[in-house]
Amino acid sequence: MNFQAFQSMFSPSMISIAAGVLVVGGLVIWWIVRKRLRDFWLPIVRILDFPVSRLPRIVLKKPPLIPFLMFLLAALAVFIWTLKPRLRVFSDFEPGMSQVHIYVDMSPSVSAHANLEQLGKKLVSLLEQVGSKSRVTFGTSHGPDIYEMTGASSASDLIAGMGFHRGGGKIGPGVRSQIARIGEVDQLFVLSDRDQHSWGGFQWQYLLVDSDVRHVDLSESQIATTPNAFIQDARFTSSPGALTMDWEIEISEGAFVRPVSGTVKASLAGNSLASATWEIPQGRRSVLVSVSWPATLVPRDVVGEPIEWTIEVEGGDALSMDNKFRSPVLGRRDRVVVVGEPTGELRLEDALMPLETALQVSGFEVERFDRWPSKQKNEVPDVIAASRFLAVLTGTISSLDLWCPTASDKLVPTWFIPDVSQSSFSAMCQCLTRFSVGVSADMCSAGLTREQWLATLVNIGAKQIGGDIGYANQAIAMRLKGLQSNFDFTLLTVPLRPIAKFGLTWGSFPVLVRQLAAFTTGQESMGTSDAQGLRGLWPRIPDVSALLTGEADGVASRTQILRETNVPAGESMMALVAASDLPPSWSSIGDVGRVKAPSKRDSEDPFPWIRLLVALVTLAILIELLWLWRRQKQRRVETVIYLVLCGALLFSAHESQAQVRLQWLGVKAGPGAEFQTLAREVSSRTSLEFSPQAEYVASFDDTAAQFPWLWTSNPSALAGRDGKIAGMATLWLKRGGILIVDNNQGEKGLETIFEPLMQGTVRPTGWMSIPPDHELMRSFYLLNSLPTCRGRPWKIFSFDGRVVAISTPYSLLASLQDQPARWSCESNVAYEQQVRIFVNLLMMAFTTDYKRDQIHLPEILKRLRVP
Amino acid sequence: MESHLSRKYTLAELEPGWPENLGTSRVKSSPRMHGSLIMSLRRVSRSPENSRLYVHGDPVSLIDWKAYARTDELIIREHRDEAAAKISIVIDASESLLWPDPKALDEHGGLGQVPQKVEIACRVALYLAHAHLTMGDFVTIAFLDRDGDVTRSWIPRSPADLIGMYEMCMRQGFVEALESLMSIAKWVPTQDDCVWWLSDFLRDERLPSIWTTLKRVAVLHVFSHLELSTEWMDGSTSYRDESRGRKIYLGDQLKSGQQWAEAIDSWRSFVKQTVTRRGGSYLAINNTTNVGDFFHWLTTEALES
Repeated sequence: MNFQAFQSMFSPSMISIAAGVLVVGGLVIWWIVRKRLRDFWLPIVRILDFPVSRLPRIVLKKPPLIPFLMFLLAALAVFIWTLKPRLRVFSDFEPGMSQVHIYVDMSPSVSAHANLEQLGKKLVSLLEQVGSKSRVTFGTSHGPDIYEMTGASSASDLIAGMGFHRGGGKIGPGVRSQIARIGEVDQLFVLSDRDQHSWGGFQWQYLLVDSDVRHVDLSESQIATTPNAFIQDARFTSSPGALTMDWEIEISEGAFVRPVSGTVKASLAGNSLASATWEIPQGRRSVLVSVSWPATLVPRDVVGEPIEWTIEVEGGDALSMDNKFRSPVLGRRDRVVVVGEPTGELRLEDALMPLETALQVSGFEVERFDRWPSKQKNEVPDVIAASRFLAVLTGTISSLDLWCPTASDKLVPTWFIPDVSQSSFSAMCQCLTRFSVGVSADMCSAGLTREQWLATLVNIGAKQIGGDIGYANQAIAMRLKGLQSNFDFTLLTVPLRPIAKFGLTWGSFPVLVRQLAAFTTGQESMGTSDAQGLRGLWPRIPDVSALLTGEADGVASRTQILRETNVPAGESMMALVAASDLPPSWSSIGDVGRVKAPSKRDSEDPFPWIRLLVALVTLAILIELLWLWRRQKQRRVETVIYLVLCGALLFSAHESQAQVRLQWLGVKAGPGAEFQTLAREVSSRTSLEFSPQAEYVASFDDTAAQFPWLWTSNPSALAGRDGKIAGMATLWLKRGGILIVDNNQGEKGLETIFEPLMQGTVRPTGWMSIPPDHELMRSFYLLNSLPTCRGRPWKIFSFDGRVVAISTPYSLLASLQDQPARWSCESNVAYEQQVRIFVNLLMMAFTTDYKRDQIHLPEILKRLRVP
Repeated sequence: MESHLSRKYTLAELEPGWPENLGTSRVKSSPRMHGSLIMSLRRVSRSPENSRLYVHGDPVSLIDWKAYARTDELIIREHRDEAAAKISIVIDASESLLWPDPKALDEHGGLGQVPQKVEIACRVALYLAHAHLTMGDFVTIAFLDRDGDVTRSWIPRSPADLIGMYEMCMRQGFVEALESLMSIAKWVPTQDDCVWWLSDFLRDERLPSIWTTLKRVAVLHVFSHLELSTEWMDGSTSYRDESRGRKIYLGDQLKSGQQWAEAIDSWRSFVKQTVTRRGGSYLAINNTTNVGDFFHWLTTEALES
């Protein structure tokens, strides 16, 4: 027999039919045998005159073995094959299936399998197929917007207009946000490829509870064997001040099916910068390519434009979107504007010469102006705006307006450098009068000395740079920042020339300037822009939908996300998810849709079978009860009890019964005390569930006798007319109940009440203080002592060696409530200690003295640090 | 020698002429074979068969004084003689006597082989017929048909006919063999000295009206031993009667309590009262009835009267 014949013979349908025939056959044989056995002709019964029973009653009888085995076998076969539907044809829509939603994945990986036109056609055909019989909406991974088709062309136009987004797309969050907007969805179609990045984290099985999920697969099989090269990273490697811009490009390939080679090109604002060739050998995932170009190729005036890296792959590439990579322009030298008139013919005589040299050495590009490069003071010149900071030599220029900014200017950080002349500090002082920093014109006398100037700066809150703290006259500079950061002034206190007192030499100038620049710009790498800050402009966004709903940060506009961000590596890797991990695949054949993958919903949902089992067990119990009823007439009372017990198990069990509750005796109506915090503490510390609501019992009755413990602040609630504990309460205490007398005020009363318990015990102890080794101190936490209140200690009353009552000197309950009482004793004890005492009490009440077992002793001694 | 006294034979083993009845042996040893009917003679006979020794209490007028004178013995000359009687034996062959059906018994299980009631009736009838013929009586064997009428009968001529019939019954079955020899004849039982009636009386709640015209009727109420107890019944099996009313009882229902035994007893006593009220005699028999009991009844009640 060949395999096909075998498969057709043992197909699920055939086996199901055979099983059905067996079941029916078994039942028929069983019925026939039963009938023959049960009917016997006996003519003499015609003389009987007692009532006729025309219908034989139901009798439990062992069935004939062979038919019964056949029946079991057949039923088992049907059961097993019901669990595994192998092939489900997606036929017409079910009556209740009215809302269908289609999610169109437009992530970069999809563009490898279908272009926008194909995607639009696919969507339109799906819309037409399912739209005639139900309400259909669709949405894309671009955002949470929901669309309804109005015409065949509109949907495809919409798709074409949107285009694929460069950011990654996660189906899970996208579907979730769209379903949240639609409400209930009966069937969900996901138009997507099988990309691992897109499907990752999408727990579509949970949607099966309410709806059907189908995957319309867009994957093209040949794509899996096509290599996909992409730029993993572009790193700037030049040192500051270098004349070339050197980059290291990491090119990766996801499938690594064969060696891949190509070229990489860099361009800035449409101008080509450089290009290089690369090759990824077989078996390797990535290669590093060095690209460099002269620094002068990067113009200064191109601001905010990225470097575009483009790779071209020989022999074709699976995904073209990730062949373009954007990175910020790094390595461009920062400009510093230096303002100051030359003070001498020779360069050495020029006061700003050492500064210029030091800045150039540090990697800055220095531009020098004799005067403030602005004609109109209220406008900030571009040259200043483009500079990293400004250095102004004061004192040489006579007119203040020619070099001093005003408060309305938008300023870059500015250095004020004094000249050797005494008037420099006065000029600085006058310049500062333009800013509301507490400097007035009368402070700026013509002969302002350095010391005076420093004292003024200290007074107005300038920060010392250099020198010992507290000795302002050692300062190299003082820094003054505006409150709204509208200005940032670094006021040098020494002229830039060698001064022995401050250790300034020609050689130390570059170091000093570099440190000051680092202090001003707040960054270590000199001369180039902040790489970290710029890198955030063209990020890789793993999930577009999260970004659009405000869950991610970093990127500003939607256009930027869609057009300019870099394709995430997850999308470029083109890794595929196994079909078995995806929803059933849906494809159309004419008028019907075909579902290929097994539907896990049917096989994995055990609840129908559990319900069936419960129903069968219930039925069996009922039949057994009936049988008991008929067979054992004399035991009908027991049967009724059995029935009631079964019913009680089914109907009376309640979750709250699994909780420990605080039963409060002697309180008629609930005072509204809540123990939410305590319940949380108890639940987190122990394995017990503690109910935050107390149960109030007005007086000791049958109900109260069922409780394991009782709290009361009024112990006379247990006492009878003679002031002693009543009989039932005595019994309750003797048989395991424990009473906690909260906030006991008088011990005499307690002794009277508990007098009956003193009789009939072998070791009458009466009320006694709690010994340090008592189980209450060990039952959960190791307590050293219990807090007293006004000299009154905690007391216990034992009966036959077991604690039956505890009296507390203050109200433990009042201090454990969510809004604790602020009484003296209660508030003196830390809440943590109160909780520990309560937990110990709880444990002792429910477990008594099991901690006395010797097996716990080593651990207790260890924790008590007893050697 | 084996006899019916040394072994407990049942009616299911009864054959015509065997075991022998005491009365039969008395007849066989007598040189006269005039029948079983005792009739009064017009005058005293001097034949030796009618003579016996005087027993205290006998009428003195019957003493043969001449013989006393001659032999010095008081001899009584009786005035009765035996005569051939006309006997009818009626067998009910209605459907209820065909119970139990051997196949149904097999399926019920646990009961073994139980003869049908009609077989018991036929065995008794053949035995009685044989005894009467041996004594010199005229015997007619008749069948009650399904309507309760006697339309066919058979008149055996000699005990040998009955032996032959019995052998035929063993081969073909009792009902079939008897029916094969029966001829359509008008049966007039009013002239008969005695009618033996073998039936289970389940055909009709009323008993046969013809009894009122008969001189004497002796009724043998035929049962199967299965009908007299409920121990063999299965609690979960239903027991039905397909005649009028179509009653169905479950085994458990029949087995519980004394209802069954009471119903059978009351039915039996009803038939017996009806029979004895008309001067007849009654005996309930079944396949386990001891032959000795049957003979005892024959000699004490049935034949004596």
